[in-house]
Amino acid sequence: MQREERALDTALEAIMQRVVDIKGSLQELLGKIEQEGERSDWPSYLNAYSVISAQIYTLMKVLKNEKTPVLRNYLTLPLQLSADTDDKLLAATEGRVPSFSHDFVPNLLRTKPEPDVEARHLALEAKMAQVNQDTAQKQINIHNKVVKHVMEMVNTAREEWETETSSRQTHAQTCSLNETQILVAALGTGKGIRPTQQPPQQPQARPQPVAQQATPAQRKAVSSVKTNIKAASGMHPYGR
Amino acid sequence: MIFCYYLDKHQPPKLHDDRNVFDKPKVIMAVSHNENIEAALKSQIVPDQEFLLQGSVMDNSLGVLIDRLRGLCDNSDVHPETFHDHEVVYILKDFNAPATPGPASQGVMLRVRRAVDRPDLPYQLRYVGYPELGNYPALLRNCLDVPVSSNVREFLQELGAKLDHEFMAKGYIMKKGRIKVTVFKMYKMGPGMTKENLEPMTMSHLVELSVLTTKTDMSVADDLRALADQLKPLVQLERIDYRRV
Repeated sequence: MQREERALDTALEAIMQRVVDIKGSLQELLGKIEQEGERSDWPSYLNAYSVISAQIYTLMKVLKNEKTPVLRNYLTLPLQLSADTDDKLLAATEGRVPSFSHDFVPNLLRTKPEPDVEARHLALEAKMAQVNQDTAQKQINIHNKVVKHVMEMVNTAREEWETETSSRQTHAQTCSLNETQILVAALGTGKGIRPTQQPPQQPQARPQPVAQQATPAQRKAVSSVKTNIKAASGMHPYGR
Repeated sequence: MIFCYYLDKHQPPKLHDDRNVFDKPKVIMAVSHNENIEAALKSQIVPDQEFLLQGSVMDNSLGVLIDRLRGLCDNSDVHPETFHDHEVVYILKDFNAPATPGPASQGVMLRVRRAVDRPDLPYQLRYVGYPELGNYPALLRNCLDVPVSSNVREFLQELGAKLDHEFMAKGYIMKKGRIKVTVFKMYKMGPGMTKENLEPMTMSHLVELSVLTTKTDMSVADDLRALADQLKPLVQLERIDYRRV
């Protein structure tokens, strides 16, 4: 018997400690919101939230621990209500509950949800009971299918995005040092654009012979192409 | 209009002292506001220094680069201005002198540029010096640009300058503050030297960031560097000494 009480005491102490931690973090966050508001940056808020969620997680772990006695097996009864101010209670609740009176006790010791929440819960349960088992199963299946499909879409999109970014990193050949050097040399010294070493005084005479030579060559090329086409078009009908 | 420009006397292309004609490459026209310019040169407030960073972008990535530059440069709401220039490069030196190694025998390169797409604009006579030695954030060189009349080519030939080479440049020009950004493709002039018969040099566009400044104001080179960094890794803009290429 004594052992059980001791276990209860230690468990309650541990739970209290965790709750105090959470309360401290919440107060910190509230103070932060009040004092800094929008001036503080998003990551610092996220940090505060992650601290609180970790604390809640450890609290739940304590509650689910094997050594923690099952708390619902213990009853808490209001033996006496009093409207008089109770200094000890005031100190224990940090000034929030001045007296153990009719105002506070029903709220503090309630074991059921609020009436309207309870009503909505019941309505939902009734609706659930109305639905046929088969149709319910069907709806669940359809829902799963849709969710799966959406998951697939998200996954493929992510894969595409990742391959695109990785490929962009690997062969991002947008410039070539070699070509840069060719161009800079050409611009600076004329390397590669300078006509072959010509004897001076003939910059005007030179182009003309080139042009004259070019025209017969062009004519030849054109005529050969023409005969080719003729031969080909002559062959095709017989080939088929 | 009267111009009096001195090519930078500190630059390497020094010619032999015993040849009077070519001695001080004193360009080009008559002298009037001589004293003013000399005073300005002395106090180093003439914007005759150019910081330059060069790189290239392959033709298939040109659109991406232009889009990014439009975002970075001024007037991003309008399409970037295009240009189509024809540049003819003359060399002014003593052609009878025996070839000696070093810059002295290379003479002075004078560049005549004209806008093919804007015949109403004046020709540009341009001189760029050799890159300065020293640890600058960008390539630093002497640079002079003079608007001239259209008979400048005949004038240069009369001076004894020889046509060295010519090419076409087609591309885009933008600006960001004092920085000039040009992205252009260089074309060789094909046989027959017609404007239509062009042969691209490479499959890339040359990208140049440049800013004119004075000898006393070097801070602007950092802006140039910052802009170049924002274009990485699309384009690698560096200080490239063309003599070492």
